[in-house]
Amino acid sequence: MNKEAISKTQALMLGISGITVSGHLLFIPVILNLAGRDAWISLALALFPALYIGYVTASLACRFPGKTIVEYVQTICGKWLGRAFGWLIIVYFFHDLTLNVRGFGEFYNAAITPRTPILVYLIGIHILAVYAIRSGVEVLARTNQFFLVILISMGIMASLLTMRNKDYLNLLPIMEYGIKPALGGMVSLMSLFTTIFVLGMVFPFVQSTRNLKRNSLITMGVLVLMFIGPLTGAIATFGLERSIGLNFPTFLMLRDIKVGQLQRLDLVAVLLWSLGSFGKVVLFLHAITLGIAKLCGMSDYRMLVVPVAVLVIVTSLYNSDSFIELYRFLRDFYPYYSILIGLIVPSLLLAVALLRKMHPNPEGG
Amino acid sequence: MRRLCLLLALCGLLFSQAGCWDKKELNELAIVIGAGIDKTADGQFRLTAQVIKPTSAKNGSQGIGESGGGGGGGADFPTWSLSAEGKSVMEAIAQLNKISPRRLFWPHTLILVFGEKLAREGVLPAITWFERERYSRTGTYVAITKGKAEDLFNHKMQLGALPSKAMSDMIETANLRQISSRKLTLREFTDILSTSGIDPALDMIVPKVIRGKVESYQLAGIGLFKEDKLIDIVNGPETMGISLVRDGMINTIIQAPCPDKKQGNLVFKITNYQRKTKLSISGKQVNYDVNLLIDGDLGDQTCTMDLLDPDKKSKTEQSINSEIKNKIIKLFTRSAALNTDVYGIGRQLHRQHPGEWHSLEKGWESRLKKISFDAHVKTNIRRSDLTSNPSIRKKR
Repeated sequence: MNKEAISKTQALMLGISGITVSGHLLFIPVILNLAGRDAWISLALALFPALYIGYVTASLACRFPGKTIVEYVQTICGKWLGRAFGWLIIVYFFHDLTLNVRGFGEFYNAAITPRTPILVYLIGIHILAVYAIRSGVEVLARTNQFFLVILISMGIMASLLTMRNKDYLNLLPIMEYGIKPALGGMVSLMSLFTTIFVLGMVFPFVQSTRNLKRNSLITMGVLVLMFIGPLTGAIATFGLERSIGLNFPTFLMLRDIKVGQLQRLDLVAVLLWSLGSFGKVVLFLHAITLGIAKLCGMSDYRMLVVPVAVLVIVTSLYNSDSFIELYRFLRDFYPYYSILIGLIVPSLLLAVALLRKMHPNPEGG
Repeated sequence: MRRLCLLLALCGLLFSQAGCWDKKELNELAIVIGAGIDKTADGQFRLTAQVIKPTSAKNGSQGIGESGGGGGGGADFPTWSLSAEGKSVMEAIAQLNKISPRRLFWPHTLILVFGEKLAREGVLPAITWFERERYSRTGTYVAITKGKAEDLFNHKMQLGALPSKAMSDMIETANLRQISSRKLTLREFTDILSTSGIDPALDMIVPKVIRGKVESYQLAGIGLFKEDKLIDIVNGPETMGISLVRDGMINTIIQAPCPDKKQGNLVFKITNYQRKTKLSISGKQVNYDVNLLIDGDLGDQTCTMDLLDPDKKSKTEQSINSEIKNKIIKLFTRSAALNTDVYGIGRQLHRQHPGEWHSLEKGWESRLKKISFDAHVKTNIRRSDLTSNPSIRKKR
């Protein structure tokens, strides 16, 4: 194990930016489509699964301090089954990252710079991410921490500035078609939140796991809070019927900011998503390369970063034909598969670990 | 060495700052500030785009050059309007680009005006491009005009050099000029269009002829829509009804007759405004009640009595009340007769009684006439600006 160490806050902040950006960019239209006006109810319902997955991830990390997911999977399930699970989880992270990276590039292409090839953005963000990862966990965690503080304050400012365009009466009537649409939205949100399991690859670098569970629960709470603005705001601004067909509702909301001479703040949206996507790419790319290195018994994961990054770019370009296809995948298939790997597998792991009475042991570090 | 490489890499980043493949040079753009859409006799869209002429904007705008360049007339016009036709808006734009040596640049479009024919036949096919195009902004104001929108743009304004700017100011700063306007942006317009139980109403803007020449524009009422089709133009006293019920008008004036004697008028300036709407439903009967609580100043009067005299004051207020109530109810009856829901009663019914709405939604427009509609207005005269009564000689 490297002697690099990050603080709990830094690790959890990585999780926040990793989930928030993909959620705001890709999932908002999906959830609005499924849940309609009741998107905020979906969010309230999703709080419990979110807390649960945060707790599971943290308690697995506490039980196996200093071990990454792919390592403790082998301890729990035995060598061969464990490796199979390890690869499955790595593929899941990989796939999730390719989807998000593609969404990031498509956003630029669809909304800002139509003539620039999507590859420019994909390569650009990966160069940055590779550089950060090769510099070590400490560097990427600190960079993300620095960015996230700016991002959150900018996000709050943006949501305040769009206030005058919002009519919250658009959220009425509540539960017009019963609880079912809200449940659909909840499942989609759950599938988003379950990717927080990736933090299992970062927690081993955390200095001490004291209070990790509590902090992780708080983080999930913060994450849920981060979604109130865009989920209710889009409907309040555009009305339900219009907000459903919008590809990037949050971006359109920010575009409409007009407070005196303070207007045309598209740049804020671009900045929010670019820096946020950086956090996402860094977190996942790091997790994937570290995971592969551990599974293959390599001592240094850094040499893997470039090839994996290239693979992510190529796969992201091949895994869907268009943004619409990406969107349909996220709406119709992603929830089941993400919940299976991100929620059910970790739960099973924890259950087995509990049954086998695996406790933190000194030689784990 | 390492630092040098880093520095070079940073310099390399500068190249991407212009937007990579999407760099835009100001001298290659034609900045569109206003657009008008008409429908031609053969059913095509005729799009008029008003662009800023860069050279004359430099030496002839902002008032300074205006008097000096008076002799030149049209030649010194700081804007240029170009029109083209197409079976769709985007094709019309392609045709425009065949005329324009510079690329049309849409983000600064201030106002989008629909010609009357297009508005009557439905604006929906014409606005899809404006919603979808990344360079178009949904904060653009939308309005309609009488006749053709194309004719609206080529007039030399006496105030302000740019006609489109003059039009959008006309709408945007209406409150500052103590009049009411709908101030509907493309975003709000599409929101209303896509929502059932509410129909849009747009400002109508027409050229104003003064001394035989068009010298300005005029806000000439509102156009009532049924879904995306214009069905009526309202410019009587009831025009204000929609501002009173939907927009919440402040700093706007209302004229009412003086109480008692049937001669003379008074003018009331709204300074504070509260609205409560009550919607109840019994069986299939919908009752809608608008409650307004309005504070304001007495601004003018032509009658000679002291309107603020304690025993006159309440009568004065009643006169204003009934005037406001009239406007609101008149607009409602007029729109209900046309089967259009300007006040959004259907939407409110949907919000408050979703169950009943599902059974009433079908054929809602025809139900509007049967709604028992009422308005209750309570006004308070809070101030009378600098004087309390007109300069009357007291007769003994």
